[in-house]
Amino acid sequence: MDRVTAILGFQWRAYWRRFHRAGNLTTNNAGVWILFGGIGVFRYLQLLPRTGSQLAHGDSTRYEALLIGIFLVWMFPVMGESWRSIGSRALLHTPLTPRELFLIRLGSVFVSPVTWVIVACSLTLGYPLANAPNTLAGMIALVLFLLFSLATSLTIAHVLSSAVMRKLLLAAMVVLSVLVGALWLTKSTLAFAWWPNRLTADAAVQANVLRPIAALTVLTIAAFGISLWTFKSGLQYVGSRRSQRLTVLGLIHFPGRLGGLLKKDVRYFVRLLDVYFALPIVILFVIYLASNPEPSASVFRVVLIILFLPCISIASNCFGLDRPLGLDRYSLFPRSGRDILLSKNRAFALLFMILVGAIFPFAVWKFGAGVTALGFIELVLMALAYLSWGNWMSVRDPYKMQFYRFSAGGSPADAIIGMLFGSVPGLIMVYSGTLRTAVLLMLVYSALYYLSLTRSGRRFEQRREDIRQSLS
Amino acid sequence: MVELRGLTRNFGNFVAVNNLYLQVSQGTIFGFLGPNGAGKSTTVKMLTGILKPSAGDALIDGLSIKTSPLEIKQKIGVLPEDLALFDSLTIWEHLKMCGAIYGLSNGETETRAEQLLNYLDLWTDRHTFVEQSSYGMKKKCALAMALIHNPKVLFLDEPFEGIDPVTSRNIKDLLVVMSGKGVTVFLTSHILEVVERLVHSFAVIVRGELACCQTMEETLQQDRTLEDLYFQYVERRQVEEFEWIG
Repeated sequence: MDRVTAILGFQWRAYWRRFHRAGNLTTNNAGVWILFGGIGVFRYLQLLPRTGSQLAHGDSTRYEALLIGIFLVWMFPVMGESWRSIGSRALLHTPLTPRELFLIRLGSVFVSPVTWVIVACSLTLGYPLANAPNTLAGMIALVLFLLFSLATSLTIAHVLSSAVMRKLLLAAMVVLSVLVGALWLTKSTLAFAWWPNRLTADAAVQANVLRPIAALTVLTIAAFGISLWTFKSGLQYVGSRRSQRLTVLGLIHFPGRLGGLLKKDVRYFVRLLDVYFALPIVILFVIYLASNPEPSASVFRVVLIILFLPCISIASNCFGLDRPLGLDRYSLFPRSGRDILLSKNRAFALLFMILVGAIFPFAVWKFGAGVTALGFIELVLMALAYLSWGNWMSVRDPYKMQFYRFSAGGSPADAIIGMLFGSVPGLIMVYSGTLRTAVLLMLVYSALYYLSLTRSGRRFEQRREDIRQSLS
Repeated sequence: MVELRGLTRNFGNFVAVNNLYLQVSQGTIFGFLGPNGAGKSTTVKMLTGILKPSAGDALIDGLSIKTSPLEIKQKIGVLPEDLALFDSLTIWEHLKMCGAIYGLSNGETETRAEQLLNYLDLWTDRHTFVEQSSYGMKKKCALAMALIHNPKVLFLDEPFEGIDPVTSRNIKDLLVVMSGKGVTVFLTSHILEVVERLVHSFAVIVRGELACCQTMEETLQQDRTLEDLYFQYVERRQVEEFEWIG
């Protein structure tokens, strides 16, 4: 245990040293994050009394929603490992047992003050529970739920380090989305009764507290067991040695001078988890289109706007996944900054088209070619708007992102402005979706995109060393 | 072919390279030597467009690195210190990407890539992702990328480090052939024995400043080895007794 404590001590020291070195609140947008985080926490605290009064009347709807939020929030400190200075695999040569390494992994999550805030916010759920019929049982269930959330986040983080497991996780996500869609269609609520958030709420309000607590205990123990197992498997994972020719992208030849770079950027972009938020939306919308005899064309247009939102990091931080060495390679190529940005923009467009591609055949089937064509034009307009904003931001304020992690470190204010800016043509098309408007908007946004690409490309050449520094 | 005119680079208050003047003529294999942190890689980075000079200029094939960076990049091949490869591409894809970027046709790229990879003993591993490759394989991949477009000037930062003896010998032979055909080779290395046998002329840089610059012929005429000359400019500690070792 002394060895574990010693290593955690040094991790703590390294973390805070880097934290202090940041200097001021503008570095890594810390100030903006504190501001937005503060607003989020304030809004959350405001919800607690109302949740408490609902629980007092045996209604757990809001409490369950808050638990889902807490579950999702736990993913961020566990998966945002950019501040961790010592990786588990880097310690493999030391005489530490896998169990000790797991403890170090677990302990390192709590080095960050973000985790403390999340722990504190999670425990404030005890306040509404004080009004619930079964306060004590509710508290026990809440603690079990928090441990379950931590273990599940750890498991997902470990699973993401293996190529095979990543594919399984993606398949599980697709199956889960289809399942939720099917349950939603059949209006079946029985299956949701075994979901951890429902079990936690049941312990607080239902007469029989033993069933939910027993079920949560089993789930938590299983989650930690799986977490330890995936951690141990991950330690020995050395990567797949299979031939690249067997993968889809390996078979595709992208023509042109920038074809190779385009392939590389597509491979990089699919490794950012943010993009996968769009996947369940696409699946649920396809289920909606397929099952509804008269789906709404406005919903179609709004969904297209929503689908762009998770892609803001790729659009507005297109160098974030590049390592400093990659930036060096760009410097060595006899290509201008505009060319490099253009290749990244093409990769973004290609990836997005693949992501939303499944929607369009269903849209043609349900709405006809005219509405679908306008939807497609809306999509192109928003892509141009997002990239116009994104190119400028990518060279102005780049930040490091990591493969198989959510993006973290960028300014939430910039992201919100980018989302609003990018959604404007979509919103205009929703309210005035005529061909004349579409042509006019196309002219405006094409010009805007051209301007952004040219100017940002030039700026990239001037700021190359600063961008390299931001990514190191 | 390569001419440095007062090339300087500062990092804050630290002067990494200070006022370098140097000339390397066409077809020369030139060794750029110095201890760790002397400024060799920084100089190469400035010459190849990775870093901008704080002051001074350099000409490559008559073009200024300040005013014609893209034209220069089309003419040079570079093996950078940290290799600068993309993790998610295979060795073969790196070469295909490079060929396209330098304007080679697909067929020409594949022909040259096959020849280079065979020569560097990398053909069977060509479909391996760079992130799964050994350091030596990565280095050979980066070297092939530096050569594929037939550059006029080749900048090699530590080309023999981490390379097996057979490939190392192949690379040396290739460099001699290339220099015979008029390609200028500008290389940095810590392996003095290799440099001594390979280069036509060399310079020693210490703490960012040029300490010595001469041809191998001049060195031999002085009846000295490269190592003798090197240690004249670079200090060395005497061996110490560590009682606790062993």
